[in-house]
Amino acid sequence: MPVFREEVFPFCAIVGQEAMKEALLLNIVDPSIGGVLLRGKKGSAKSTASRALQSILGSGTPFCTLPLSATEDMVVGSIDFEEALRSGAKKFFPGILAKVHTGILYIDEVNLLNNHLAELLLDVCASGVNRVEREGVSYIHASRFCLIGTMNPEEGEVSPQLLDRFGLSVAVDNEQDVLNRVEIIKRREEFDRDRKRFILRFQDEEGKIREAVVKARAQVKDVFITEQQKQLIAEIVTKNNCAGHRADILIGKTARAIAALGGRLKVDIADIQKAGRYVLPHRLREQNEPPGKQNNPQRNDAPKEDTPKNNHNHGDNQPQGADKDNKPSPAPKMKKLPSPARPEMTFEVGETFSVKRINCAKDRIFRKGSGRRSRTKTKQKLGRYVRSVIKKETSDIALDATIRAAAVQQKQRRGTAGVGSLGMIIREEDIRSKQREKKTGNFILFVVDASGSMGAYRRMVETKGAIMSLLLDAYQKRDKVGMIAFRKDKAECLLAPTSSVDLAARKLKELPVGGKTPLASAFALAYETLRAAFFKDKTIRPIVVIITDGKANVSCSSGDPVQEALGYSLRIADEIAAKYVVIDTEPPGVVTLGLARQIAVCLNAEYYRLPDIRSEELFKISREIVNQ
Amino acid sequence: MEKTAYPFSAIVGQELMKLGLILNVVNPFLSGILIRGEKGTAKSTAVRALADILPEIETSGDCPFQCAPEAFQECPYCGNAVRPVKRRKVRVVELPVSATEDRVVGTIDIEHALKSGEKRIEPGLLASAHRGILYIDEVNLLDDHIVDVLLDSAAMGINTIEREGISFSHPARFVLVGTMNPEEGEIRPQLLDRFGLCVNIQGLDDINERIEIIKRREAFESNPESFKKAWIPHQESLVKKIAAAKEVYHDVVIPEGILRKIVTLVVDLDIDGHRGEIMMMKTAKTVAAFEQKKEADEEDIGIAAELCLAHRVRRRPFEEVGLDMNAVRQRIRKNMEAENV
Repeated sequence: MPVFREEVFPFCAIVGQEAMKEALLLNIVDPSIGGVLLRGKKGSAKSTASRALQSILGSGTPFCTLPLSATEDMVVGSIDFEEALRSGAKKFFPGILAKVHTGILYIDEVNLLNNHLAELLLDVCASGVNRVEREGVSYIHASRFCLIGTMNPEEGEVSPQLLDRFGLSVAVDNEQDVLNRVEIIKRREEFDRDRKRFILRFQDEEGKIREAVVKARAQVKDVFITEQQKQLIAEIVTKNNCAGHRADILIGKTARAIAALGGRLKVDIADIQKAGRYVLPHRLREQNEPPGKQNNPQRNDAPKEDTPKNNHNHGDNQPQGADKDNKPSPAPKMKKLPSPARPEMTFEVGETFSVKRINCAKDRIFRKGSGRRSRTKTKQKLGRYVRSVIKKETSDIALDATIRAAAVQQKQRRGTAGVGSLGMIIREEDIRSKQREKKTGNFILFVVDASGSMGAYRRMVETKGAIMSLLLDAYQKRDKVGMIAFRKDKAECLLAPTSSVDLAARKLKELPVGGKTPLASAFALAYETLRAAFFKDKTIRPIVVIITDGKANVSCSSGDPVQEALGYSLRIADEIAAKYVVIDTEPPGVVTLGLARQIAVCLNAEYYRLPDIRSEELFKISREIVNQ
Repeated sequence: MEKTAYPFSAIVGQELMKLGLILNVVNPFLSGILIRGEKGTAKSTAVRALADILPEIETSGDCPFQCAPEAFQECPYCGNAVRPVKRRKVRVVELPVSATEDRVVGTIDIEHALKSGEKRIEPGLLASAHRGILYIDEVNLLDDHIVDVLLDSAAMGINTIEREGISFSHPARFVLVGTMNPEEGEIRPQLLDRFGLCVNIQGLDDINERIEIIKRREAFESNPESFKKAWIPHQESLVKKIAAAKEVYHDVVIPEGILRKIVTLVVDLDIDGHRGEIMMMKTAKTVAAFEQKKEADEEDIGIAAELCLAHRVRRRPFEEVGLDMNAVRQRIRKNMEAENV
């Protein structure tokens, strides 16, 4: 069957971007470097350069693209369907991982790659073999390749494990020089007008690069690196706080490849520095800093102000224990202090960060839609094939199971049907279909405390930062979001369920703070919002994130506000199947009421204190260029 | 029976949107247009009306993959069979938001193959849209994995149907036209970036124009045929103008100075990547061709900026898609004044 290949833009016709081009070429010189990750904003020629590499590669080196929409079949291979039909034999049909062996696997937007494909890829990268154990086929083949990926960091990060598989990384930026940029547009237009002619124009130059690479490839083994230089490498690596020995080895290899590409047989210091710049940036581990360290000035202020308050509180709260049954103790205090002293204010959004993973357990409901948060069964053909079932209304046929079902009938069928041309006779009742699993987004309902107590000591700044971080996470996982805020005497739906996370962010920015804490009313509104959402789509799995200090002081009826809030939370947890998360904004201090914790217990919720929702396991990419 | 489409040239106002659509017809390398606006602002009407004024292309017979007669040999369907050349209009293929992956990409009918031993390939919408226009109404509501498919084929110009060890690919190059109402959510940044042009449209403020809209609509609804007939001269002259623009496009010169101005503007506005200036150059050139000018000038840059930059002005994930065209206009003015001093 014909395979289409578009004419690619010649490698040498790319203007500027020397680091990116060099990093790509180094991987051809020494494929054991293990690939390169190109990080940068859209439209900075990342994909163009990666694709252009095809024209540098000799015809013996395969170049395969892993499309984002690839299915598992396409990647790992599957049963050879035609063969199975013709002869009834099971034969392996190779996938991308087989075709790419000894070559280059290119993944555009690698950070958006489906999770299960990413895991699969990691396995293969680590072992160098692709082991297929599915659909009744068992097959092993070698699969070693160089991984080239591009990504826009604004769209989310790559998992640390996958990140580590990329030998080099380059932060790609726009070309800055105006004349170069003019040249870029001119060449693009020329290419679009007549691709073949454009390629011809650069043929000679392209040939020279190809020659240099071939020569370097032959020479790289002979490039010499001194003991002293090896020591320098080790020093650079330890100084930069890199984990493992991979970095040492890679810098050595890369430095040699750089020398070879430059036509030299000895590594020099500049090669090592350059190699460090390619190898280290995505391996730097963030030093374990306490959360919020960047916020030093603010942080220092807060406790100072907090202490007198707490002391004050302490004195005030002598009769607290006795008071508890009658009235919640914080209420009078709130009344006294905030209403006149703290008018309604709108705080800015605090610093954002990566959040802990919050997702739903798998259940038995089939869902449409897509996203990146929780696993679900699906009727789409995209997910991972988990088992086969007797055919339902889908066209997603499970070949292995179908053949197995038909196999036992063959003798009998042949007897009645005579000898046909097909190896197998398959009938309607044999057809099995695939059941798949994939990830979907969730509906996240934020219930945000905007009462006066949140305004104290700029707590709302930090809280808004946290919510914004959760929103960013929701955006990357393609969730739907809704937002309820409660303050003064009632809760208010700021945002009906929408996929416009942008809108949620805007509402959050505008959200003012002030007044009392009608927590129960917030639960009542959350209940109605969730019920309405379930009414529209029975399969949704809401995650309700409640952000409060729990100090309820306004009730819907005449009862005690705290008791009422607890009662409501029990009811909502009982009636609405959702995952609940409580984020406690009460600052740590001598006296804490722990009301939010009680609410979390009633809701059977995951409970975090505000600083705890930061994800600690995350590798952060440092953009800093490695020091010499 | 197909509903009669409202004539394109009878749409009142929304000049920028109409121009953006026309430019894409003249030059498919502009890679499409995204039209953002509230409900009832003639977005869909305009796109659907486009069908009438599209030029003709030649295809090899009734090839389901729309292959060009000179490229039939690489066509998976035509293969070596020489088929009579057919002329037909460029198509507008509509991709409904609810479309399944099978429908978009195409599918291999496994069940049929199992029972009969024959391979049957059913081409999808991407095959129909090759060399034409792919229109997605409410493109912001499109399912994520369909977006992935679109991005893949837009990036490679190829669509691959693959199931159970049968792999089948065909060329899929199309102009992507999308309409959306931003109130219902934003569009993924990668997809946004794929649209060469973007316009933000609003309902018309001018009372006279609004009255004209109502009048024409009424006339169209009461008797579509006679309304269309009345507009035939306008439609025909537009078709001619488009054909003439296609003819001269490659001869339009963009002076070095103009190119520098484009780049300076894009740099000043801190726009990510180079696609902004590439698209601006192509747009300015297409505008000049449409006006039968030999050289693109500053006026053309102004129009190109309006069309190419609104959706590329840098924004963080939660900022609104940059709508502040005034800043862009000011910048252009400033750059020009600076030069004149």
